[in-house]
Amino acid sequence: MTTALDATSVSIEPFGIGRKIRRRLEEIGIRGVAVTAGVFVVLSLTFVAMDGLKLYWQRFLDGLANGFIYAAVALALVLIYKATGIINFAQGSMAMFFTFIAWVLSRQQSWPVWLAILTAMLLSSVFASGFERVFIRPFDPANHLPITIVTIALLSLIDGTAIYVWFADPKAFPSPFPSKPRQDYVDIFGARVFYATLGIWITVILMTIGVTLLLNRTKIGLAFRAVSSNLESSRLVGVNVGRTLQFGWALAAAIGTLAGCLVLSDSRTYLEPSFMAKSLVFAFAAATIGGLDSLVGAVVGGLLVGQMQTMIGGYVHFIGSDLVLATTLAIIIIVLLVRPSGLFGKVRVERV
Amino acid sequence: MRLSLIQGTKQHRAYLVGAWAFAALVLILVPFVRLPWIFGNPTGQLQNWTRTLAFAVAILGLNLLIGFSGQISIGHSAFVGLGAYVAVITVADHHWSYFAALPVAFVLCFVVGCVVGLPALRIKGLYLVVVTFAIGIVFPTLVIRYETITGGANGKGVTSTIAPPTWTSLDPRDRMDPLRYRYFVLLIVAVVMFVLARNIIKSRAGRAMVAQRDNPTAAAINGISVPINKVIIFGLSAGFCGVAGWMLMVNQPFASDISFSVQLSITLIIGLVLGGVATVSGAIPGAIVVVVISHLFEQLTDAKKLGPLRMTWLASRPGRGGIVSMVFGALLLIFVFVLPGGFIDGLRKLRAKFVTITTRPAWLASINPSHSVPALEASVVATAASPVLADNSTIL
Amino acid sequence: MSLLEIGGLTASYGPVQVLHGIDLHVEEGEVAVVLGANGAGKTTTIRSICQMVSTKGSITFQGQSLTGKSTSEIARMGVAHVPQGRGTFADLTVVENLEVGAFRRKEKNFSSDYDFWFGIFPRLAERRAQLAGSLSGGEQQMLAVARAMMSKPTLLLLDEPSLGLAPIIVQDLFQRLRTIKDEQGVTMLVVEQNASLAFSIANRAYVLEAGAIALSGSADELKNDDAVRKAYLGY
Repeated sequence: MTTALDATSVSIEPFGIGRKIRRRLEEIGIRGVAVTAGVFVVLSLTFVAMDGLKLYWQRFLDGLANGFIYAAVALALVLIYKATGIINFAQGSMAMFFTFIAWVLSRQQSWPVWLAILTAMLLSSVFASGFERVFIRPFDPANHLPITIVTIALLSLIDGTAIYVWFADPKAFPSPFPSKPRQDYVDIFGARVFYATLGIWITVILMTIGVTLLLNRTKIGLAFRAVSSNLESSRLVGVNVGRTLQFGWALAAAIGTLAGCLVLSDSRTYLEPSFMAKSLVFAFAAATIGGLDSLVGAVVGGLLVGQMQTMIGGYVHFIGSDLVLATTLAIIIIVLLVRPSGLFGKVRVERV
Repeated sequence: MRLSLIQGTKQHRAYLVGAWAFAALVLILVPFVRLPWIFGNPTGQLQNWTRTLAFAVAILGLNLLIGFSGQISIGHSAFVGLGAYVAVITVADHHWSYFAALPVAFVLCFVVGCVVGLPALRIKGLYLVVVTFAIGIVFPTLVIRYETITGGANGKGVTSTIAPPTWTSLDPRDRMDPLRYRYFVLLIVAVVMFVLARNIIKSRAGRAMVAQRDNPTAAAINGISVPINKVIIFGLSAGFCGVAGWMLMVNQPFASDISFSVQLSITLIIGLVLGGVATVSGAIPGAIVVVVISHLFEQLTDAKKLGPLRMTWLASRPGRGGIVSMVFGALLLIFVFVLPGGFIDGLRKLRAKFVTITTRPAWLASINPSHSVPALEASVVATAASPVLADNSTIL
Repeated sequence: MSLLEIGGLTASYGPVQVLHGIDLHVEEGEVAVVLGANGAGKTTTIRSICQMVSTKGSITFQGQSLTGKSTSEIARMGVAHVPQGRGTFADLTVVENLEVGAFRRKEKNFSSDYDFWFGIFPRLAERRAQLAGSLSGGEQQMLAVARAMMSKPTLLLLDEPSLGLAPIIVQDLFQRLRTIKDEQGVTMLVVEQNASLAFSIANRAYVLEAGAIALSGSADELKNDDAVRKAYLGY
């Protein structure tokens, strides 16, 4: 409410990026950001005092890698949510399935890893757009329950198929990044950063830039943002809503598949039908913290959740690694109690 | 041939009594009827029917949330698990009786459900979706973490079960009699839960819940406290699932982390949709389909239990476990498109082909001698009652 | 042949029938207004044209039937609709709103169109980079009109443009609508409760009562009709 009033009373300035950021910060609430940053700094200092700077730095960088993956999956979830108002429960399963496809292509057909990943991404897009056309579009987009149930059906169908075809035993995924033993890392201020980790950062950053450009610089991207913002008005200006949402599904599927392959580029994780479950929950958490309707929020939320996970696992010993998931979620619930619409979500006034 | 009935007449009452009597007879006869080999040996069959009762209660609880409040949850497996562990832990470690554990399971799950639902007072939208999903994933990890209490991945079992008391003249050492006794005990619990659910939905709070599902803002304007209703309904649905968990343990007292994964929640949702969203009785066909399908695939693909219909090609496949999920997913898709109202809707449509029930015309009330009320009043009652009756028929 | 011809139009929301057989037509280049009280079916009429409600009867635009077409197809045929409540894209900036408005056009660069509409609505120019959700009601209405005009429509449908706006802003808005009518020659169908405003730009008028056309004729005829004057103009 107040944000809307503030924004109109802002004096007229030449239009530019600085202004945009400032307004965005106002919308988010500078207090919220300041509190988050403050808590983060205080905790970081405590952790440094506990085990020294070096270990903290290492954990920070590790957390960043996890965070980028959660950010990617959260981005996929938020894309669909923003446009359709539903949570695609099958997002993780689709990512898992097409990561298997990438594995089949690279391991069994001996394709180059990157080509296999790109092909899998493409195939997942084709699959998702087909699925959207056949199973999602017949429903009224405003009626969320049947669509959500369809995504649950898809989840069950894909999980079952993956178990049937590839069984439950773990498989090693070929790393898309340099991974020669003992030469697979760089030293950043005393911390060991594996090429895989670095690769994850760069890939997700590039992907986020790509998605942002796609949404902000192309006609279909504009249509997508219009549909996300106002479904009825989009129809009134002639946007083909069905095809636009199909684009959203395809894009989200490709992002999910890429995220799936990135999860596995960390050599400690193996490919098996449930490997996405944990990332998916953290991504859900990230998207929720970010406010569920903000792409920036999804990315920042992902990074925050990644940090939370590593730091809780590393420093809060009485919790231990088994409960990292539970603790992270508890923290998120508390955050949401304080800021119900997430850190970046918009407070909306509803009209009847 | 069509049967035409007028609501409130003797014929209509006879029809209802007949239908209920038939249903009761079926439920009572279940433990005494032997189905063909494909449904397993007699004890296995009976345990599966008892299991169906537990699933029906869980689906019913979930339907209170999904069907009547419009919120989706894929974490109710955690509440089923909580109820189950309450039963197993209190009975095995603290030597409680099963019956003492039942109210504890319900109340604990209700309270935990309310606590989980509580942030919904402030947070709108998808909060519950995200949090329930998280709970569903977290619950098995908690079981592993507190291994000393829960038995972790090895599971925890109870040696003692509910044994038939002497007045029943059932033989505790018989192969079937104790199972039959447990079936009837759980049947009574299930009937109580169904009656409870029906009353909840028909109550003021239940109607408020449906109103806020259909239009939250309008409901709020009409003085319905939306968030509190949501929290209570979430708690109740969790409580129902807790009771279902207790029932599962009475039937087969063994719990481990994998029995209560998100997969269970998905199975419950599938049973819910197949039975009928926002129906009370839909939980029964839903549960039957889910239990029978899981069982059939176990039978057809288990190498040791091969019968004439053996599927050797499947039995030898390590990934055969995926088939059930595939079938469930496909069924769910088919139902959402072909019969979105579920089995109950299908049955209603089928019934409508043979039986027409019309509301009582006002003029009939005045000439029916069984009514002692004055004509005017009766006609008012009849017209006022008809929309309500129409409502009830959609609920049942 | 008229640009828009509606014959025997009925529409219903579920079991409730709102329109009971409406006949109206709009000639090329003219402004037609539909007057009526709350609940008379004005908005339903205009939403029927875009097939946003289920209808029976005939609706033809440039000789082509609109019934059974999707809303977005109709928009692409050149029917622009400014919905009640303005329907701005709150999460898009003012410029982006205009860009979406031009969605049906094939060109890539609309900067001259932006300049033109910013010329007509200078308030929007000041706020071009602002999110549309942060605009005032009057500014949003201007944006909605400009957005609709960006599609270079053959027919512009306006659903109660005066609703919820201060009188001075409404005066200003209708002033500009008149300019648009004179300069662009676009055909308009305006649904309005404020009869004196509506008559100020109208060539043809219809009076809708309880889902049926009660009166129709040229704007001048109706303006001087006693019944209309008493009921809608208040003198």
